[in-house]
Amino acid sequence: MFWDKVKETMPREELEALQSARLRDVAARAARSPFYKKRFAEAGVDAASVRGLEDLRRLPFTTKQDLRDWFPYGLVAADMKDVVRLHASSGTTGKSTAVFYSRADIDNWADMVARCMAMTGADSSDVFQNMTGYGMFTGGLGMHFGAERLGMLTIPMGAGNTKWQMANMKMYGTTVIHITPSYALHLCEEFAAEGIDPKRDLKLRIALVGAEPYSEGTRRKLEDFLGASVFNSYGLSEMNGPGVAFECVEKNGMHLWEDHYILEIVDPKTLEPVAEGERGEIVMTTLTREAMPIIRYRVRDLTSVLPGTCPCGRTHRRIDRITGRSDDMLIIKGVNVFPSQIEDALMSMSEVGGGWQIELTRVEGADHITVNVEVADSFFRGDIKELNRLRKSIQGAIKNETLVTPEVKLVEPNTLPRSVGKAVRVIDKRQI
Amino acid sequence: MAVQAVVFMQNMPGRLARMTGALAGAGVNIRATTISSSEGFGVAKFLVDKPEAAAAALKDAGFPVALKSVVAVKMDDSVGGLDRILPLIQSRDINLEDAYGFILERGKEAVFVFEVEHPEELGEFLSRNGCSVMSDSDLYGL
Ligand SMILES: [Zn+2]
Repeated sequence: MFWDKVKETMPREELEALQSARLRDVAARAARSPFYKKRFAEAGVDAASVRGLEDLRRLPFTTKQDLRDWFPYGLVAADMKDVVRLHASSGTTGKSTAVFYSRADIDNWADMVARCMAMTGADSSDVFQNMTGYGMFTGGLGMHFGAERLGMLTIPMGAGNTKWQMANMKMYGTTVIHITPSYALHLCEEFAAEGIDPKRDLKLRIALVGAEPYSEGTRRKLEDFLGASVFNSYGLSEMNGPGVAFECVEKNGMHLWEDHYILEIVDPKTLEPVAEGERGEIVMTTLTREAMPIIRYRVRDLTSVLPGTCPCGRTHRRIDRITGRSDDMLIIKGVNVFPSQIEDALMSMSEVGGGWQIELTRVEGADHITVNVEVADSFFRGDIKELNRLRKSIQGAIKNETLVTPEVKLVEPNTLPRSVGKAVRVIDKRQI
Repeated sequence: MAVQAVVFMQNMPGRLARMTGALAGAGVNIRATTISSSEGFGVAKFLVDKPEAAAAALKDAGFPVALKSVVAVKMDDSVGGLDRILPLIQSRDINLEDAYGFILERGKEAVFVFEVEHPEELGEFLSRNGCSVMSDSDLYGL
């Protein structure tokens, strides 16, 4: 099912001509932000000289660090009176990033999400239960606006509260859900525990599953149990949020909306484009964003573009499942966390000895993070209460920095591996 | 003021044996020991004949160690022995952080060890009230 057939099936030449025209405009818009004014000048790029896609590679890259360094308003290119919303990533100090939207940005976003949903077969007769977090995260409101745009009856549940989620699914006859893979697996267990067979007792037919990476095995498991068709979703807050790319009914790669974004796949080391179909790092340029245009953003997710055309008729290229990151970012409970954030929180405390380690596990379908922290020799004064206070304050410091509450375990000094690199700092035992 | 060695350790197999091994290697004699654990870690306390040597040996073995003052009181090993001391402590509104006891000679003498915020004060107070508070040399020389 098409939401916007003209755009979705636009011949490649036309699509690329549209991209060229839009790149010209967005370069000019971006140059109005303090960040790009400076960055373009440094790179010797005059935004007015950008004529089309052929000039793309003259434009400088943008990184997450740039977003942090220029937080909060450095990349805003629109007049503040035209900015209507912000979403922000985790982090309360120097690690925060915020993304701003104009009314047209919200409108375009809703449109892209509606396209994604229609592409999976959802339509205005569906009942949609949104089971991801609302608020500062983009997953909740992003999907919500798209679902309403499509015309579905939308139940804004948010994440958690599993019993109520299940009750609502029964009471309102929910047919479409949006959920993270880890929460979906947990939901399956809860259904089983309550003796509910979704295939018999619910009307569920489509599950939009995203915000965390998951495997084909998980998809099969969810489809078998829920009796619903599971679609993979891709998005990131810097590029609006969910709805950047989505699977069609072919379930072979995710169509990325190339009328709104330029997609590049580059070698993370050389930053040169990879050969067609090769794996590399995603780089994206927003084409229609007004409030906060972002040029050549190094997303750091690794994937490849699938060759050939899709039988569904859409001309927008498909990206494969995300297979990793070119940096050390972790996704914990759907929240992006960098080990360096945890390090910063720990190292701000004099009681902490130097050694630390993150352990990620999955308990009942939910991510669980344990931070092992060595106690500094000099801190220990023989008081168990003091140690427990320390545990609490470490927990608080990490939560402040990452918005994720870890379990904190105190360990003896010099017992954690010392060598550098994330391999020993992070032990990810999650299996999905 | 008498001191005990307090050691931070992880709750995992072999930690205690490593400590007693270190103490034996340093020729330290253990009079009494207690272990309390909390949220994945533990604190072991050793009352020994040579606290400084004990602390050095445990530090060498890699453990964070602190020497903490305690008040040790000798009492009759008979019914009601402890019951004479606790009301005294309570009357001063003193909060016991930790306490443990051990028997010196069955049916005759026992020692009770108290950990409080101001041990000097408690020691003097108990002495004034007829308790037999042990001196450092008494305690270490048991
Ligand atoms: Zn398709």
